[in-house]
Amino acid sequence: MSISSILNIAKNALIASQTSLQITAHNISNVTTEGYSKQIPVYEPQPAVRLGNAVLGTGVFIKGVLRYVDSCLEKQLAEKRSELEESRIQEAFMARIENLINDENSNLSGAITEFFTSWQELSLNPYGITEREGVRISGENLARTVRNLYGNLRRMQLELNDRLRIEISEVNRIIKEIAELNRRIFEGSSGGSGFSDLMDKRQNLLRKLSGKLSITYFEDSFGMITVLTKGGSPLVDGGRFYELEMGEPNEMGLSGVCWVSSSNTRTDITSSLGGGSLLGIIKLRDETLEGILSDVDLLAKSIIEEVNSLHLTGLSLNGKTNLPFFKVSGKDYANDMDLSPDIKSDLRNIASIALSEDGEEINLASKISSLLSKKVLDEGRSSFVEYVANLNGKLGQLSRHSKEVLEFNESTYSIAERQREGVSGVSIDEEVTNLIRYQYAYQAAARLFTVADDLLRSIIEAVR
Amino acid sequence: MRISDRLRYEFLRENLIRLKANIDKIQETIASGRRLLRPKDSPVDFSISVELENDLRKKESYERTLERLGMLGNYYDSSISKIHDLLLRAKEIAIQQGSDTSDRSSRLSASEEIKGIIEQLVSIGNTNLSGIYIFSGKNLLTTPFVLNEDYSVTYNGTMGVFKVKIDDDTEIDLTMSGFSIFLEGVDLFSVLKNFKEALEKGNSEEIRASIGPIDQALEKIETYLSKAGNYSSRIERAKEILESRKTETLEVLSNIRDADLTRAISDFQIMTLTYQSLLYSMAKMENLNILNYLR
Repeated sequence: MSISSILNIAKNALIASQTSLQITAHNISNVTTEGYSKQIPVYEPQPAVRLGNAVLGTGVFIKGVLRYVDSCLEKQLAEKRSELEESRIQEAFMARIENLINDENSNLSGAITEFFTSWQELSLNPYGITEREGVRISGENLARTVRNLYGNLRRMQLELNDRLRIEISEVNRIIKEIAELNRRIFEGSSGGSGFSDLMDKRQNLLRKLSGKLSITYFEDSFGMITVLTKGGSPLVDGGRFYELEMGEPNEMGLSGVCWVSSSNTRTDITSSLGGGSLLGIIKLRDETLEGILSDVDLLAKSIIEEVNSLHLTGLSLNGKTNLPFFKVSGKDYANDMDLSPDIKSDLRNIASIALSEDGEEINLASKISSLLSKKVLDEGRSSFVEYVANLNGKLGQLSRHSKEVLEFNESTYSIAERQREGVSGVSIDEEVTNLIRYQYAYQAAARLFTVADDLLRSIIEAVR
Repeated sequence: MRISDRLRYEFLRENLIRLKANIDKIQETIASGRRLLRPKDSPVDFSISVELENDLRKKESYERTLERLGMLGNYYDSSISKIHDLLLRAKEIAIQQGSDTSDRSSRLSASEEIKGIIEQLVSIGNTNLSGIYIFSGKNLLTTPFVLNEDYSVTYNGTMGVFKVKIDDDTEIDLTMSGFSIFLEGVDLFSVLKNFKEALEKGNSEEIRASIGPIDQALEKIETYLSKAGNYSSRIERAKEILESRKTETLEVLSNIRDADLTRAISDFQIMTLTYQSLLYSMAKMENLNILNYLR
């Protein structure tokens, strides 16, 4: 056993301790970094040497850096992220939709009541001009309220469309980065600390990506990650990536999500998104909002048709009959709701009296005002105001539900995060303890130097 | 389970945010005095409150209707009273002038008075309230009674009247028919015209014969007087019922909408206490760190 080999062992021990200290320092400095996985040095004894009949060890070396990560937990976290982001975007927009319908200034149910009670006033003075003015003003107010509501809802759809575009370009950016990291990880030497950080970064991106849409991913034998959509289309394959795009807009200007293949063909993947904020946006835009829009349209259609069918039988002050009160359009009742040009041009065209079959004059204004209580909608179960109240209630339910789902998803995500942190997170107490440990190891190794140095000196002095 | 530092702070932070949000919400409730801030707080209650609020508005509209009809009712009351008084005077004259003691000149001046009565009746019949003729039936803008030169009267109104609603299921007449009051059955104007002519002729028997028809007219008018009275009291009753229904609705609405302030305040206190405890424990945890104990 030579003294130089002792020196060698001391040197290796010193290096090992130094490296460990560095890794510990890295851990400590990254205590708040999101998605950081704790790293520990992997010690291994140097290969043994034969010396006669004895086999002697030759010290230690650092084989590599171990990254504390549980890939099952990571996958779970990624999945939960999909659900979380989907419910997060839904909750945010549901709150806004709720505000839209219940805005003080656009009180739909109030406008309906005011309109029909203005007919009641007219019924008390069927030839009155002031009362006609009241009917016209409240009619215009009602039409405007409906138009505005409908317009705002459509605008929200377009806003969501824009948001979809933004999210898709985010997705493309992330996909590109993952592919880039794949390349670097493949090309770089494996086992280093910097390499660990790259993998952490890639995992973070995967988590972020699954917040956008549902993905499956797996690692191949080269350490590269392949990412697929739920429908099976590849997004990242080694160093190659495939982007997403907005589809062709429909007549409303709204688009779906397409996947672009390497031969530049586009496949619509809107129905197979599976989760994430992209799906959240699509559901809000094409199901929730579309549903409310058609409800509002149906309301407008019913009001227009009911009022017009009575008004057409009436006699205006000018003796004209067959005049509609509301403008008649083919479709788009809510979007175009307005008073008819006859009414707009001449107040006296508002009919308050009609002739019955026996030629009797009847109080038409009274009949029209009775429409307020008539169960017109929901197969004869709801009046106009009840329909609006139900719509409010329905929206309230949806909003509340989306909030509850978000809270649920937030807490399950928290739990999954906690589990992950339990495995991969950094605890200062632990690291400081390690610091002490490696520090002593370093000091002990340094002591070895001193001892070896003494031994050498004694030999040199012995032969003087 | 290992607790990493990041986890610990995340956990505390999340709870702080959650508690703060709850405290803010309770503060809003206390400040506004209303429980129902948004439909998602209680969808069913919100939807009911929308219906009730509009129901109130509808009731207010019926209130205005009843006010208006009440005013009309008063006019009818006083108009028919005046008619009654005028007819009484006519009867008086008939009795006076029917006796053999009255002479030609007094009969002639009596006939002038009867002319005056006819004119007043026409004027009452043409009463106009805020632009509508209240005795014109459905021809609300047309002057109902036209006095002709020979003191006959032409009626330009209709027999029927319009109906209006005083609540969702009840209709009543908007006006009283001038036709029914003045012309139907006993025609007040022809009775008086004949009486005037009898006075002008000076024939005692004919004059005495007018008393009968005038009596019949008085009877008819007395019926209408009580009808007008009934109409007014019906309006009053409807007003009272509407008022009490409104109060009921308001009560239900306020139960749904208004916050239970006592409860809200005690919830507020509990939450701020929890919040404070959380802050305290965070501060304590701060000190429990190995770094504080190393040299």
